[in-house]
Amino acid sequence: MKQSLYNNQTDISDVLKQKKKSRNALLVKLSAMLIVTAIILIFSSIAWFTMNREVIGNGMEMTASDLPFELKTEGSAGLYDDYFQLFDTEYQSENVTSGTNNKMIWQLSSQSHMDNYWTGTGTPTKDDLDKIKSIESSDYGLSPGDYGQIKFTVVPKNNSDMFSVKIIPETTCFRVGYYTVDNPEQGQIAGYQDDTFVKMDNSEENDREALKLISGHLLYFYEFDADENGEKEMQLIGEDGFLIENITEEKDVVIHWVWPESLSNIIDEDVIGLDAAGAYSLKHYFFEHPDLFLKKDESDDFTDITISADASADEVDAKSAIITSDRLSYAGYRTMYNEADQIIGTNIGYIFLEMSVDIDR
Amino acid sequence: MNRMMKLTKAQKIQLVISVLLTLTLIIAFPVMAWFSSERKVATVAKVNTPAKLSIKSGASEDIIQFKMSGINVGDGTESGYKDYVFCVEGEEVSNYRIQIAHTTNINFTYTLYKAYTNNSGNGGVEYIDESGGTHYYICNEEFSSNDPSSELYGHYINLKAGTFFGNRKIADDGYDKKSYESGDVIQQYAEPLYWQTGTIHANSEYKINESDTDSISYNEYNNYHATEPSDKKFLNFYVLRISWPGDNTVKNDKETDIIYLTAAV
Repeated sequence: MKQSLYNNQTDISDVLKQKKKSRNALLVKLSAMLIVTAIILIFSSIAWFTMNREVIGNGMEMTASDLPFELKTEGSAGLYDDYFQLFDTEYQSENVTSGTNNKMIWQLSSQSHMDNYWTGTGTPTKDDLDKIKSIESSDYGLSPGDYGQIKFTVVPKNNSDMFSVKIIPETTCFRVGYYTVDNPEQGQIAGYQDDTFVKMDNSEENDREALKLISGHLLYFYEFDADENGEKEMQLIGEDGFLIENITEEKDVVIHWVWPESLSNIIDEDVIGLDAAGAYSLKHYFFEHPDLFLKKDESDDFTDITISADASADEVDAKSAIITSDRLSYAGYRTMYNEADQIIGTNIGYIFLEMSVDIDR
Repeated sequence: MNRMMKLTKAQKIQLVISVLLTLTLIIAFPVMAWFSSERKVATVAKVNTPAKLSIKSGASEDIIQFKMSGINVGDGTESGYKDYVFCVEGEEVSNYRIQIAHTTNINFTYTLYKAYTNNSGNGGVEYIDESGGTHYYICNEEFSSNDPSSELYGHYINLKAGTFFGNRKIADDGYDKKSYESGDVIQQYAEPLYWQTGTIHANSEYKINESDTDSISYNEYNNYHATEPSDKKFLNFYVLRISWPGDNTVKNDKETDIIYLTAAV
């Protein structure tokens, strides 16, 4: 019995040991699960925080204290501002941004617009707008050869230290349907149809070419202080945007926009709306990315006229010579540029230009 | 590994937690960066639709086939005329104007007619295409200056009042200052007369397919349009009639006039 009891005792201690082991294993498993849960919780709560901020949280003054500046524009509403409802409802028609309203609809004036500023008397009537939106109307819209400037002001906050900002222009394009004939019975008026906006998408084959070409045809230039005497110079704004350094007081940011009329304007560095420095940077950019400017022929990949981003002025001249030396080939390239304009005009109805301004970190 | 094994259970748990917390921080930081919101300013601009409008010869052939040289007016005692077919072709354009500018060396009268393809026979104005095929156009609708509200309105915009030297029409000096310095002596017949139509509605006649040479009516187009809204092409035919009086003012002398035909949105 004793023996058996002893044996039983050892059995029990074995069982206890095993139980302890399995309990430990369970503990490890549980703690692992707890950690995973904690991570999920942390993530979801952060997500909750960000979501919350996006919906109602702009009131948190944290943002306001983060950024040492606000943006300001002056003037009146643009002709197509109603469409913000379709693009992005967060945009507010204000003159100054704020912590609660970090997205502002650009206020325009005769000195600051993109052919979308009403120059008639009073406010445009529905008839005026119908006329403007008719297909053949070239009023109040962008076409090859157009140029202008649009500006905003960076306003430092009280007590803010000197800072630098990074400004990146982003363009979103919209395709829009239209009626070619009036059909009053169905309430249709010839012209652009407001209710058919479709955001264009690079993954759509039909959209891709037009989006690529408008990025080469409608270009933005920044006017910066070339020297201390207030001399200004223009510089093409690339995808990465541009920097304005050492801001201590209100700073006007003037963006020049240009849609060169023809290829020869670019090659001859004779673009209305640009200064010499701007025209040269445009020409350089053309030879860096000819495919953004020219409607591609299937057989032509433009390698013979392409240069690198750091190519010298001599290289640019050499490539210009390739294009212009033969009259026939020059005519061919010019046609490709004009055909690109056609593709842009027939596919893109409206563009949405967004300048995002952030502190340079 | 041995050092890891030597750690007590508590230390191991601490280690795991610290690693996880570090990871959390690494992940959370970019997420937190979202908090420092940027500022944005934006505007909407319209992109104009390019006008697809071209002027072509008869049968929708290239304008290079449009030839006006060598008008035979005989000995000048008989009146007569010669017709030339051309067309205006376009897409996504709802209305346009036709403009004619010409010098006035010869006492010709220029008249524009709206024209339709004659499908049922061989009457009307003949047009011989590049490959020798014959096309006929009927032209009954004359553009005139009578009624400015008419679809068929067309008029000279710089006609000098009165007639000169055998009922010739010449230009007034309304546009001189746009072309000449003051004091320049201008040969009066070399100065062009400008003529233009009112607004022509492109949608009044349509063709449906690229291969069609015929136009269809507005209603027919609308019926078609209901099912194929993507087709916005049109093709309108015109006949330019050049006529001369039989009063000996126009003879087969060597004389030249320059004529510009334009279609503009």
